[in-house]
Amino acid sequence: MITILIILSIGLAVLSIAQLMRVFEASSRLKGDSSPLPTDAENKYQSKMMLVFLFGYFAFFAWLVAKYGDKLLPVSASEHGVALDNLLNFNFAIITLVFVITHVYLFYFAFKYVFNKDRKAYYYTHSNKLELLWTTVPAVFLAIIVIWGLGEWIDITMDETPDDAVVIELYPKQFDWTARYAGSDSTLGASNYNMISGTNPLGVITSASLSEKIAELNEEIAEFEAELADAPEGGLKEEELTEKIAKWNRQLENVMSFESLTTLEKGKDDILVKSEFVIPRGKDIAFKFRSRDVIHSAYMPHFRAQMNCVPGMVTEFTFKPTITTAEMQEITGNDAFEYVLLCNKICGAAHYNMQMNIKVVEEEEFNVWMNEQKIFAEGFVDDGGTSTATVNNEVELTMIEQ
Amino acid sequence: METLAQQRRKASKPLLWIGIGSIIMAFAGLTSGYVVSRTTLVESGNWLVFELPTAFNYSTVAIIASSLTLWLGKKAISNGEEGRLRLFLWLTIVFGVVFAVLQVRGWGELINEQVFFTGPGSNPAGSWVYAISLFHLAHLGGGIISLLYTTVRAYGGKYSQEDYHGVQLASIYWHFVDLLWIYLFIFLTLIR
Amino acid sequence: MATAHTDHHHEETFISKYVFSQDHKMISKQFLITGMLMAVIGMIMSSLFRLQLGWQGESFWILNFFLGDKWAPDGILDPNMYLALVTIHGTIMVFFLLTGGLSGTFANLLIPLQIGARDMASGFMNMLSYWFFLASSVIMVVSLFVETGPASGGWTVYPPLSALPQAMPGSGLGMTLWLVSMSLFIVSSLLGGLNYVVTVINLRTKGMTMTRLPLSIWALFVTAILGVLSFPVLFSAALLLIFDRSFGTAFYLSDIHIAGEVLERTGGSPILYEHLFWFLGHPEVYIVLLPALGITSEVIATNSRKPIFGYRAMIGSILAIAFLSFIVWGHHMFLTGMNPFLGAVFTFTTLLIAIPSAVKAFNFITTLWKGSIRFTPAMLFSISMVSTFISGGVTGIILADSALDINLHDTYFVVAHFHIVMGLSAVMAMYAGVYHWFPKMYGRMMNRKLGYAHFWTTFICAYGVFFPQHFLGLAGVPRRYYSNSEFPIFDDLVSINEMVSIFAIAGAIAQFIFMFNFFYSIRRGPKASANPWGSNTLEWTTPVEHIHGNWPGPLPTVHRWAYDYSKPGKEQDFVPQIVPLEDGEQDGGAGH
Repeated sequence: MITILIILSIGLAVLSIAQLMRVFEASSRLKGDSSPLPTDAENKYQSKMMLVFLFGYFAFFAWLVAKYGDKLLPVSASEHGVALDNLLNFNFAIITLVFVITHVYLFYFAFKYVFNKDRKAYYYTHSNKLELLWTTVPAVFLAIIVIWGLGEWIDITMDETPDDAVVIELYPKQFDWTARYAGSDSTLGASNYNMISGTNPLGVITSASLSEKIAELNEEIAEFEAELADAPEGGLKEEELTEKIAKWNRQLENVMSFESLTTLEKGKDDILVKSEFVIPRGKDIAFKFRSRDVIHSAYMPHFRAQMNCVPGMVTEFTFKPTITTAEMQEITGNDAFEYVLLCNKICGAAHYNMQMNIKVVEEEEFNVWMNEQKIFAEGFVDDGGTSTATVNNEVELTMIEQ
Repeated sequence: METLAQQRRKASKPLLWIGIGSIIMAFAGLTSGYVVSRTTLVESGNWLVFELPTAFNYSTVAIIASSLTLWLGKKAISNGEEGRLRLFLWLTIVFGVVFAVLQVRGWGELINEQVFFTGPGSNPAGSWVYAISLFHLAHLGGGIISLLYTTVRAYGGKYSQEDYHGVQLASIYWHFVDLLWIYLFIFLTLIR
Repeated sequence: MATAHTDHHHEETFISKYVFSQDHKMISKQFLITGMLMAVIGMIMSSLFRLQLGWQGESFWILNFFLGDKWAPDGILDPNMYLALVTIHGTIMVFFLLTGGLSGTFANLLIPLQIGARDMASGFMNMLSYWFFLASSVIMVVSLFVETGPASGGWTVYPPLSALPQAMPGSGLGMTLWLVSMSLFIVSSLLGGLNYVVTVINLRTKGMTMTRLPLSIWALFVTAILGVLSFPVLFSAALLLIFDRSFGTAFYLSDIHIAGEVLERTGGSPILYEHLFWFLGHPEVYIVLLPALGITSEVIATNSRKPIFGYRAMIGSILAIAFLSFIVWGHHMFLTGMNPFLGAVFTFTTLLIAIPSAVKAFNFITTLWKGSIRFTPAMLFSISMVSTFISGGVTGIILADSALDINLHDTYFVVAHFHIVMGLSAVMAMYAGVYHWFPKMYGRMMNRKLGYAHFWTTFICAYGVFFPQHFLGLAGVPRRYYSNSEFPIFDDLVSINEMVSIFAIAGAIAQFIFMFNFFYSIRRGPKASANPWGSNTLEWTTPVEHIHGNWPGPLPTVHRWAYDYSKPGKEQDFVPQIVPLEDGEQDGGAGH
């Protein structure tokens, strides 16, 4: 009913405007205003509006800066981020200058050179001097921007990661994150997506997880075979189960091939955490990223750090945090402040809520925390991560003793 | 001044050439994708190396032969020999079909060698060969249709020594599809 | 040669005149109206998701009205539907409005008329181009009504998200239809593009040398070349995606464990798709922008009563932009673990584009200087286009910088940037084009007062929507988020989102002023004269009533460039291109 009423009223509105238009047009025709070109009054009015718009636009810009300028990201909490912020500010200074100058000219000229039938426009086809000027001046500024920008880029991406860096793997899936520390040997154990199970969300390969996975697969195959025995012959069910058994067997074969790996022990001391991970201030944190299902992007805005997580490949990013969570709470004047890791590549329905807290602490505190964690060999229980609707800012360790 | 019909006739060749440029870009995309894919898989040791099917060698010969016959056909009509044009058009179509059959036969050979397009046990190395040859075959199909159309018109006596524009257009495209396959064949042979 | 009628001497039925027309002027109108209808759908979609973003989690009956109980239960938008709306909004606006609608309309209308040709190089291909476009539009619209929803993986449809139906509901049938629709769209673009290129090369009238072509033609010509070279690559990318989706290959897939099972397809790489996609995707930006710049050049020169400043530099910068657009695609992929050296190269090539772009902007401004500006609605839209081109362009300098991209990649800063520089610039220019060439298309004038009202509401709302989004981006808000309220760090920014939504919805409603004016004027607008704006180009020498072959007599001969406005020593303030040079008179386009 409401729908019909709305459609009806829209229709009536259009009709009445059409009627008004006809009256309006008839009257303007009577006044002799049939020229397609704007009248002098219209030209004058619009030219003034150009100037009004110019001031309005700048005022809007200034108002936004005044109102939201201090609500943007706080000071960078990583070493390279400070340099990036300087570069960004320099860029902003230049583009704001260009923006203001060009807009002043654009709208001022539009205002000043309004149509006047007594004045002929200046026939000015080109000027090599002027065109050379505005080719070279931008080129010079761009050269500065390129050189500075690429300097930073090379610093961030090509610097050697020191040996004492804390190695952390971030592993996303729809729709949560798991972090894995390399543990006491500073080496992440091998992992493979064929190994993933409820107790092994990252598919870490150790001799224990391997035999566990083999047992699990064998068990499942046995279940399917039992079902198959009961299934009516020649039916869809039979076909489906046969296919499943074949698939499971192929996976089993893949998993068994890992037994020959020489690095089976490296993963034992790895530490897996969910909901929140802790990093020490002042040390390089070498992140490695994989993905379980689709492309995600690990975005840590307060550290000016981001890297895509792509299934089938490992990507890397290293930064050095410089401000602890406690210090940042003081800087922002917000006791509840937490650093966060966000997903920044569209990945599905709960993309908007795929988060993990990051806690930056002093190194001693970090070491204490690390010692409290259970290593992978002691078992891991998946608590479901953060994909639930509410966010818990409390520290919640997810390592539960078996 | 020329009439629109004359202008359009004149524009048909450039139209074809730019269309060919566009097809080249599609295959450039595929072959560069092949190179990118191969590089990453070779690095991780997962690139499957296999021989191209021998049927592809024969099909290459067949398609070269078809270009030759079409060239002879065009030569025939430029001497006004309409009968010979029709003969060579048919020969070209036959060689084209032989090519297509041999391509399909080549895929059969690949399957015999356990190189699959898809499914478990397939490897992108194999899928690429199928995808590229399939996409080429689709373009060849367009060529055969245009040849058939030309042949029908040849029977209708539309071509003469003075005017065999349609034959020219069809043969430009056909030679292009031929050269395209030779390029793909060499590319796939060299970059394994 | 008597008349052009002899070329098409057959009885015209309703079907051959309005439906299966091979006349470029009719095809142009078909493109425009189809594009407009698609744009309305895209615009309504943006209003719907702006309701959710502005007032997150609140209930709106209108959401339920449009989307039903499945996608907006109790008037609250479903997150899957949110992503679908964002995806289809992007697809429609980029491809259907600003590629098909913009190029399709103005290339078809202007190329034959402004170069002095009777029609396109191939009327049949031209007709096919429109019909493929219409078919792809219909399929895209149909995909909205699929049970599992339309494609939802973002307009770039990156695999594996788009490749696996188990990854999200929209990756099922909706995504299949998206691919079918886009494949048809690509065919349409190629058929159109081939025609445009060849027509400009082969069908120019006597005297119409390349250096006398109006800049609109130069822009449309180069755009068509870009399309012809880049769309096939997207076609290849889509083909492999279709193989991955429907035939179980692994071109883009590897090491995936999804929906509780391993996916037995290894060896591919999603990055390969990104490379192929953006090899088209970046030129696509200029496929959208160049026609806009061309239209702006025409409208600004005509209404300033002044030659466009630096005609040759304008051509040079169009060519430079087109060339560079092919070697910058990697800047969309700085964060995919690409070789840092490669990233540096892409940063460098991308920033180079700023130079020809700056030349264009400065030349537009100089054209206004000492002009005699008539503020027609078209002129207002063109001036606003220069403003959006600059406002959006300068932030591109920041995003092109691989180091700065680390923190701004995929945030609202990017959303603000490309909506202003590409979206707004192209939309503003498209409006300018419609207001300017409406008398040529329909033989009637649009209402000027409504035009002014439309312009000011649109221009103000446009900046009101996109300018504040820079601040969201600088605060680290990622794009494509259904809601920001899950993150306390974004709590301070709620009022920005609200403001943006109000402007967006107001702006959307304002477009109905235009729609009304447009359709009303087709029927009832005052009759137009042959050359209402006092313009130099050839299209204004044709009769107001459309005829096949465009000119009743022989084709006009061109004697000068298109920009002899206010030439000293001339009585009138314009000298059409068909007027012969006087003794000793220099052709303005000849350079020095």
